[in-house]
Amino acid sequence: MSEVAESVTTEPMIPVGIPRAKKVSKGFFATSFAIFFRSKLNIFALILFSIIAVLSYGAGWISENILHEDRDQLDFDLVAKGIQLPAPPGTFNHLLGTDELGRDILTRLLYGGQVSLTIGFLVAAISIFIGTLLGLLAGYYGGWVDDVVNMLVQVILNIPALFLLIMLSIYVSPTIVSLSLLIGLLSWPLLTRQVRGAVLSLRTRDYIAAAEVMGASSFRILLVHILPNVVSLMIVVAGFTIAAAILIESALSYLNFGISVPVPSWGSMLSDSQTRFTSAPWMVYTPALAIFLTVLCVYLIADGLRDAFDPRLK
Amino acid sequence: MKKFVIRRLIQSIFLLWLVMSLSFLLVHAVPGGPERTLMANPRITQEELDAARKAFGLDDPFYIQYGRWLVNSATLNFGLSYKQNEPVLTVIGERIGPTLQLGVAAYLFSLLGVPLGVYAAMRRGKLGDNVVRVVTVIGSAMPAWWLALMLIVILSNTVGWFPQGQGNGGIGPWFLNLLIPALTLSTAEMIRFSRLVRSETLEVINQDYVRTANAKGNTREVVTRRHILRNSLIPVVTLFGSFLPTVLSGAVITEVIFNWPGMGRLFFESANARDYPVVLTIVLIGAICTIAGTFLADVAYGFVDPRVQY
Amino acid sequence: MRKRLSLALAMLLVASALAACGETATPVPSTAAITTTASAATTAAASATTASVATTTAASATTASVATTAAGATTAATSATTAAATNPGDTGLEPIPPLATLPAGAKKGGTLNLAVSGTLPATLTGDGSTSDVVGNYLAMYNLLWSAGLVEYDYVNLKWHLEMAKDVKIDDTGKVYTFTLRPDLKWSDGSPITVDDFQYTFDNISKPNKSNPAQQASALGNLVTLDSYKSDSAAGTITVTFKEAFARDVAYYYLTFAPLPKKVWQDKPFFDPSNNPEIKKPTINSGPYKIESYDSNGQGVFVANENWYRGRPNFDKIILKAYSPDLVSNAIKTGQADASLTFMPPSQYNEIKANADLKTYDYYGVQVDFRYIVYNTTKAPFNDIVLRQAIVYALDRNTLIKVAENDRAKAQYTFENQTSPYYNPDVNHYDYSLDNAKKMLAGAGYTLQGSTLMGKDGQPVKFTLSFATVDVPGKLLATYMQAQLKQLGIDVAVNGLDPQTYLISLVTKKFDLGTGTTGGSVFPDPDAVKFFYTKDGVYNVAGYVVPRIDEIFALGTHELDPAKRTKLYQEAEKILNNDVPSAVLYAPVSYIAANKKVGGIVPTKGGTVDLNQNVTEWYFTQ
Repeated sequence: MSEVAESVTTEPMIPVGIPRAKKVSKGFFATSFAIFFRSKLNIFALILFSIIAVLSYGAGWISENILHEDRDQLDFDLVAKGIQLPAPPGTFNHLLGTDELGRDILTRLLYGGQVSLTIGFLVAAISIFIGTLLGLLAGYYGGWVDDVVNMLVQVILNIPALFLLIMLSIYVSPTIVSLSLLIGLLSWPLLTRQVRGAVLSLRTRDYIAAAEVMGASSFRILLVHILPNVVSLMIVVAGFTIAAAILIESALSYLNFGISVPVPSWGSMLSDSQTRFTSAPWMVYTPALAIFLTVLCVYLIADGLRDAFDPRLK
Repeated sequence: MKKFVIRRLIQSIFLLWLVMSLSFLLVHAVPGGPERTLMANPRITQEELDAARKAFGLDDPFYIQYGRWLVNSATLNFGLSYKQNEPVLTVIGERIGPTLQLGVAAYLFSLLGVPLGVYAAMRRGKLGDNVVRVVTVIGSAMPAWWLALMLIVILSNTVGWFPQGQGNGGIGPWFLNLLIPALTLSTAEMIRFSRLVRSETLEVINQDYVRTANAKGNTREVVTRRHILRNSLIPVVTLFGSFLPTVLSGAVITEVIFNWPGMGRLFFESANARDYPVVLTIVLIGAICTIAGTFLADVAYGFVDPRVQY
Repeated sequence: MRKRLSLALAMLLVASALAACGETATPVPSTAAITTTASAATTAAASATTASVATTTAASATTASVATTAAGATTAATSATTAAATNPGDTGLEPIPPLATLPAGAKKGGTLNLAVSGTLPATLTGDGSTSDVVGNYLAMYNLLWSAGLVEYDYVNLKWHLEMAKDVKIDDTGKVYTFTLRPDLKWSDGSPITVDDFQYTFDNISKPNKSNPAQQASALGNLVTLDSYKSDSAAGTITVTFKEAFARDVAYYYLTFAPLPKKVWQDKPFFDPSNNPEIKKPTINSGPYKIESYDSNGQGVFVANENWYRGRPNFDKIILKAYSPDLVSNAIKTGQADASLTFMPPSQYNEIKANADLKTYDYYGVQVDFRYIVYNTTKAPFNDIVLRQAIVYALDRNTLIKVAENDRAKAQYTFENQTSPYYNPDVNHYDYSLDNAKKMLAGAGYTLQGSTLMGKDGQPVKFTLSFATVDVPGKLLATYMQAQLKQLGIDVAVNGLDPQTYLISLVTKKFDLGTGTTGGSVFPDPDAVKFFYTKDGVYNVAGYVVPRIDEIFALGTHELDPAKRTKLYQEAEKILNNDVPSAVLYAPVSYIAANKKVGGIVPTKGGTVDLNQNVTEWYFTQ
């Protein structure tokens, strides 16, 4: 597994124990990643995503040492010089122009990436954790545990997600963490269903029965014998969740429930510039491109991994 | 079979109750309500506030309000909209039609995902597959609301027209106005359909009966049509249930952008105005439809897939 | 015009922000102006407060010729009204003339397509209090309804007679007798009589039992009335006030649209589900009548041949709602000829540059301004020095550029510079960070590193709240945050949904807030009393000065315009110095129209009266 892949897929999932997965079924993962890297498209997506992530998380350093701009710094020099704000790209040291407050778009774009990606990762982590845990429990224990989990899943799936988000948004003041929690708490059910399904079929396997006979605790069986088998599922779902979270965050911004000022996210930058398609396109298309490329890469990676992991397709 | 249906029915009702309770709790725990709205009126007196609270039964203990709401809902009495002073059902009734039009159109568009998925599966790993992959991924890599706005800007700057609201007049304008919102709304589902169908088809291709059919010397077309498609499309049925909440979610944004007078926008407006009766009823209607949809899909699954035993 | 009284108030605080964003529901649309008989029963003090949001400038009311510039208006107004006051019988009100004949080259007729931002209102009755979309209801109001006995002209800033042909006031100043025009007709051709007025009055003064949250209907001002009597034979209406009011105040109380008794009398007055007239009136009194109306689709209005001012200029007016940011697209593509609601400042330059379109600036006379408001009931803003220092730290000119795309004018008190009540002798708080720092240092604030410490030795910290739908508010918050950092203050900003924001203000759970007043009822200082007096519900600053209460109480009843001006100027001075809230600027709003639409004369009443001039529009070709 390359270093890059580590940062993309495993970082948020430490709680569910990737290292064990590697140890137990190294052969499977090795072949899967080999398949993954056979596709040039997958490699391209992975590299591009890594670049975006590095730029975003290096926003602090880059803006200080290269751009010499501050995230929230209002450039009043522009106003003093009589330049109409928002200033177009190339105005003095603003490579990508400024917004209506004279803040540097490039700097905010980098910081915005940090926020959007963090939300994506956090949401993925939350939903993977809850989703896997409940899926394992429901699938393994069955009975009332299964019923309860199933009901929870059903309740969330049966209220349109945006309805729930809007109702919940009224409570919380939007920060990175609260938004991630909000989105994360609503995006685990599908994973739970899939994990549960996988566990149900695993349960009937002989080796599980053997482990039970040998007196292994339920905890051990779940952790050592079952979890590694759903890791591939988790990785794939994590990818899609990251992408979805970035998009949902932007939708919330559009509906005025997004992250609060002055913190930028790609979604809020996009939403703040919605009246400027023709008058200040640099404000519109830069965050749009950032979201597009990021989500595209994450999708391609997740899609590629899914195919690579799929035993039927080997 | 009968036993299964009854069990699922009971489950569904229980589920509905859970959904209702959760949304009631959520809505009533939010600060603000009609009486808060009244406070924005500079002339209001405390007595009037109290009278308003009393008239809406907001002074009763929480469990009484909850119970009353459950009972009233069961008898289809959803109360008056705080905002419009009309029965909630009348308010929502006006908005159901437009959402239905949008939803049905979006559903039809999203079915385009099925041939895409089959095509991609048949060409797995080849150029065709990659093209479909990239195209579907591109479609879902932008926020739908932003794509919609961009479409409007492009349309209005090029052809000098953009869709707005429900069409008035003939079938032509109606369809034109419906087309773009419905396409926007369907993008996500279309992609989901194509993905699902692609992976199902891939699975079916590797099944023994397909090999047998091929071995028997059937033409590629016959195998595809009789053996692959028939089986790989079964799961599409299950998407009936989950389609609805996605569409309603999407409708909130699509309807806001295109000024489409549907339930999604009504929900957004009512949530902002703290018009609880309307908010709760919309959630309820959404939940009933979804639950019913899932239920029907489950039952239908048994008919289309002979392997399923209840 | 009562609709403005009851509704426009509701729009204060956050409303214009909402309207600007096309938010369909102003927070309190239907619940405004609840003063019903119930509140009539409350204390006399309450009724006094309730009474007079809605005074017009004494100047404009009584003078035929009011200049709109500040200086001119003040002098002209003062002398003219003084003259009028000495002769109570002579009201100086002119009857409204027939519709002006069109200039050469103009075309009578045609279909006008209008774009409204947000949604169309569900109800169209003359009693707008039941409307769900107040802003847009007001926008189309004048197309369907006549304002009532008298009307305020927002272009020329004066009162005139509308449905009355003359008015007599007795010596006590309490009894007003109106004679109805004989040529008034409903859109079906039947006459409008004093019975219709009486019927409407009798009903709007009753509480709305079907939905107490919507008791809005009742005239807030009725508590000031002793009686309202009509005489069918003579065609007169006699109104008796409990006490004498400034004449403009009195007129304002008497403006409500009459509803057709013959159609309405057997139907529940407030219940839209059992009275279809509320949602879609079959007959009405304005220049256009309804051909078809669907609040979810479009409204089609056709010329009312029976209108008392003559045949209106267009054969047909079609109204369609657009999502706010797209109104400009509708006009650019020709899907609409003009916008009937204000458009986002950020799109101004682009529209202005478009050769096919023309923009029209609307600069309200008053009560349409951006403010920041401090919670003066607790630290840190119980300290006047901090409040003043912060205002010094804000550069209005820069602020206007960044938050409003340069589409606003600086303002320093609740009256703007064009108002006859404007007090030129107030502190402009000219931008000076040094000044701000000096003041703070002088008052015992210290800088520790780059952090400003209060007198108690703790860092000065507070939260600035705003409604997230309020786009300029959001920009202002960001600007303030950057600006106050230079004073060593770390401001937290908190964007809230409009309801929560409003509640946090009213319940005083805030430190610093910002918003706009959102369009005036009409240009009179009395309209702002709710912000500054002890019992004012919008006195969210919690700032109480007995003299201010006294001034606003006196102003309502002061008959001499010169004295009135003096009173309000004194209030401006006090409030400008004490800054419980700081007035920053007044937006210059705009609409855009196709070049083929002529006759557009921007009114000066702000958002509320945008539409008043629509009946004068025409096609130039």
